[in-house]
Amino acid sequence: MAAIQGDKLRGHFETMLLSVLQGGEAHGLEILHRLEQAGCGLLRLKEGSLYPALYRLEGAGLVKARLEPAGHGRRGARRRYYRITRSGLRALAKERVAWREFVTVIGGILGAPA
Amino acid sequence: MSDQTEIELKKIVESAVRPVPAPRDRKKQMRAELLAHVHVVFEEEREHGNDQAALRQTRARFGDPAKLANELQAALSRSDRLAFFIERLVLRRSGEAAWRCALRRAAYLFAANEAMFLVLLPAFFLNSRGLQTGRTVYLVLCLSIAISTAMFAGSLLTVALRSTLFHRSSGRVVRLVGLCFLAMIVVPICQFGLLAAVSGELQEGVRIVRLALPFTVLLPVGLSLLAWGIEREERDHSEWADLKIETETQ
Repeated sequence: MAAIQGDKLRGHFETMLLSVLQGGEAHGLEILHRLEQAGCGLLRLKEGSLYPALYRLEGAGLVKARLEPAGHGRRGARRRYYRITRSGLRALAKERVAWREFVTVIGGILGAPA
Repeated sequence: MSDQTEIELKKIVESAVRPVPAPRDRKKQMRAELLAHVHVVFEEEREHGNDQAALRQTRARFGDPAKLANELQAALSRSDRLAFFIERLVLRRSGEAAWRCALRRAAYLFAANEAMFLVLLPAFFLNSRGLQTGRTVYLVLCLSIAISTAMFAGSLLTVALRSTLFHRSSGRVVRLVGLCFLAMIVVPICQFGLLAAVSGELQEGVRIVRLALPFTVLLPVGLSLLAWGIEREERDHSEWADLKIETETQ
């Protein structure tokens, strides 16, 4: 199977982030690792792009961020942990319905029903 | 990790963050988060090769900084954009004289006061049914002048305090004492004395200044804390702003 890259993810990336955050709060790199795992290693992301998407979700109130407390006992800067909010969960549920409809319609046209 | 590697990692982050028209606090948060990310990526990549190869891989995984800058800009909220706009108005520009910056701030404050009053003017007018409106307008004008003058004096004193407190020079202690004394006298006189003088309520003004004077010992403390905050912020900012990023060196 060919790798799935940037353009093919457009419009779905933020929903994917909400979906992985449904599994519990995580910092940026952990979110990427979860995405990679869920995508069976076929997702190819420019890692920097994760953060604007997280900021958009945060701005829309779909995720909330908290800064790791000082004295975290680890080398390096303090991380920001993101968790999905109730609005985020509602938006995710809506997007899942929309995705099923999309796959049904386009799959039907392509002759490859889901 | 060597200092040079740390600088290179910061440059990767700064290439994406610097062009973003975001307020300083927001940029600080972006820088910290992205730097934490590239640190971990670099450590991961170093397990497979040398520092140079790890840096190349870190850049590749991070993505095109120009594209990322656009994405970061698009992710800014309205409040971020507003904060950036206000920051650009009030922050001291590079190479700008202190008096000029103080004058600019005072002028903006005056304009903001007047604009706010113009918005509230109909309410004043309706409330007083036209009576005393002329007097109210005059007093508000006087108050705006007094507040703006206090802002001018406060800005200049903060700059002077910052330079005295944090940049070593001869006669530092004498200057510091003088500045503290000036802060205690100049700001309340600008604020209340000027208001009293221009509004014709001289006796009342003198009474208020006399009442306010015991509390003015807090002004040098307040202004020194402000100067300390600005110094810390500027040091933090210049650590990033002084980095030569690729778009500038090309």
